[in-house]
Amino acid sequence: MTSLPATRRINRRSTEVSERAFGLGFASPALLVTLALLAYPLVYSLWVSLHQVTLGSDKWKFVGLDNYTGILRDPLFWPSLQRTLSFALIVTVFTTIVGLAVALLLTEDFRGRALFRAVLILPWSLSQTMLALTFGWIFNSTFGPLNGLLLDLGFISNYVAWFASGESVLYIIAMGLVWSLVPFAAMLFLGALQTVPEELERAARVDGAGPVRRFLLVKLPWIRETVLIVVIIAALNGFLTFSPIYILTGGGPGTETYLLSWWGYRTGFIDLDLGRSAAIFYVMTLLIAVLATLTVTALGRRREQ
Amino acid sequence: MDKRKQFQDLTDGYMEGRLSRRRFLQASGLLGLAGVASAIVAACSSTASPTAAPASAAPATAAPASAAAGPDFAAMAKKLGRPLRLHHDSAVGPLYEPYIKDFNAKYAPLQVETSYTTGDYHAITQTQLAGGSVDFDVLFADDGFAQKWFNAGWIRSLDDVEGVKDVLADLNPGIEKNCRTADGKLITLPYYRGIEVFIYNKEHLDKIGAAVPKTWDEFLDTCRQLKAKKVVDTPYSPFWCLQFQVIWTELIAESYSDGSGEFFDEKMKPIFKDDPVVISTLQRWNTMYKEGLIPQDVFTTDYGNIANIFAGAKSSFTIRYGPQLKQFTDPAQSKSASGAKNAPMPGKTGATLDRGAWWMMSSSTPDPQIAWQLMRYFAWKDKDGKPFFQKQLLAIDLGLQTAFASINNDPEVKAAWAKWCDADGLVAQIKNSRSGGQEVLADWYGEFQVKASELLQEAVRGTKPIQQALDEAAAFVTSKTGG
Repeated sequence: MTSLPATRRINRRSTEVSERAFGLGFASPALLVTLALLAYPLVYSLWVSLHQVTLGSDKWKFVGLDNYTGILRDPLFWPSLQRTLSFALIVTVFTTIVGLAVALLLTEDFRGRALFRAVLILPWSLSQTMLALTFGWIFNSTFGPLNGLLLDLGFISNYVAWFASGESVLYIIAMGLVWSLVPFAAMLFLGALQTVPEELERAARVDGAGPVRRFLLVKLPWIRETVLIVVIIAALNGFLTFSPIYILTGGGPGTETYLLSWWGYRTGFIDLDLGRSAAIFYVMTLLIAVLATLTVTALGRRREQ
Repeated sequence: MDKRKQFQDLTDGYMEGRLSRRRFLQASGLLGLAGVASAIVAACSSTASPTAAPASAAPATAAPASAAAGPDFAAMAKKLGRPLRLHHDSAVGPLYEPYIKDFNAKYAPLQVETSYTTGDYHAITQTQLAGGSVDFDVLFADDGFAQKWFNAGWIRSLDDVEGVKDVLADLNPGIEKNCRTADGKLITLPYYRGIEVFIYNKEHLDKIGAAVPKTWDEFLDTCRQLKAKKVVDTPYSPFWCLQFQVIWTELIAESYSDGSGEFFDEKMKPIFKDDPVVISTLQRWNTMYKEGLIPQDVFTTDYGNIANIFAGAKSSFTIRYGPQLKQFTDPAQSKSASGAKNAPMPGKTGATLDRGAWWMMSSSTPDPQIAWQLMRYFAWKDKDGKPFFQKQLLAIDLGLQTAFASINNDPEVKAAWAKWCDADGLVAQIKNSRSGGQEVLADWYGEFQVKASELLQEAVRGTKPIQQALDEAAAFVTSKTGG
């Protein structure tokens, strides 16, 4: 009889071990795939970034951090970095604000809401390639429908060359990207807003809070995690924007629309300098990691408070 | 090759100037699909095209190779054990189809199938070659890639290929040197040649009673008049785009026409930076940009849409090669068809640039003598000694020149050109043309053209002083050549 608790302990322990092994068994395929598809390329590209290596060449020369110091000294680096950060910031801020606004609108009851919800999803279904082509057509300075419309309405007297400067091109691309990301953001926000307990809102209303205060003090704190997800997704999309540059500008005029992603592509696949290209993309990866960590930490801290 | 045609087929509606909403949506949808297809094809890289007829489908009329004198195609097909593969960008798909079929019929049972890429042909092809899993036999490249690809071991020398000397003997004088590396290895054969042609809209000039400009000062003055008298808002639509680095090509052409020297010396040292004609050409471009005589967004406009500006009668002048002029004179594709004409290049010498692309043989081809059958067909003549591809497609259908005087001077070719241009004028311009030196073969030239094109755009827009831009372009070459 005295040995019964010990037996139970042993049994519990062996059950725990077998459960752990069972769980590991289930998770291992996914873990292996993750290791193969994520960890290996990450480590390999880090290794590449420490070498002078040309695409197609078997000659690898270890250069340590030379590729990193090289890109920091390159006159293209700081302008490209600044542009990338500004671009990502614009995309993130507008995607979040507009997405939230659309979600709030969709929580209201109005005629045609179902249709609006269905139509809203369309921009999200477009690839960045199609998005770039579509916006390229709309803003075409000679034959674009936007110029025709504005001229007909009397807002302009001459066609506007929307793509004349790098700055204006990047604003247009950012606008396109926001347009395509807003539906996804709105859907996430809508889902989150629907989980806000009615009692909370009712209590705030009883306390005399108006719609703005109810949003700021009740809804927004409740959906903070969703905001975090949207911010990170939008920022990632902003940082990794490539297709619109590839299709619309090729980095031009001059180098005025060079984002880090385009610079990395050009260095790797046109200049064939794989080591330097890998270093550029590693710098991007580090930046994204730092920004994501800061965002998660900041929002997490506010939640603790 | 003419990547633009397919694109422009899609954009016919744009030439009308104004778009209906329906038309716009149709075009956007088509372009979207093209984009998606492009991404898929790029991702799949060298998927073989199903256009190639299977060996068993060869026409019964094809004579058995063993019965004719010459190569035994049956033995070749058996030895190869697969069709030959021709690698190209996908824009030529419909254009090449008859020639793929012709090859498959004439050389049966030896067959060819195509490996097409969409998007940035050179970047994608380089990546495919570097990946090492390609099985192209014959491929092409523009200037600036051959030496690099040869150094990387992706393409092979043609010196040991039996029959190549016959092609070299038939080439126009001076071209063979551009097919060889600095140490004399033959690594390419000419694909096509194309000269930059001065194109104007006669109807626009008639409206202001102006003659075709003979100097660049007259040209500038005519542009100012056309704008002032509101004939067009942007009289000149230059191909100053980064795409295909045409801005660099245009700089050479306009500089040659005004009597500039070579851009590189015999040792490939960059000497263009101190050439007063090159500098004055860029100063003129800068003036035209500042005065709004060119579309202000031409630097980010893609090739097809720049062509649309002239074709849509929104500009009065442009400079580009024969296929473009042919398109401008086609009423189905251009509103400027009745007015589009070619004239000698303005400038002190009126010369222009003669440039082209190159055929190469992949190192991975199992038997160069078998791949040669395909290369010879596209680079010179078919097995019966007829330059079907070079003459019919390149010269007659596309309006390009070839590297062979026998084709360029063929009365049938000249008669075909006369249908859409002043053929005598075109022939005279061909005679007054210059080609670049061996730098076009250098392993740094492709990269240089990209860099130089960016710098030129900055110089024209005034965001960088002209001399500084030229100095930086020259310094780039020096950094690559080590002196």
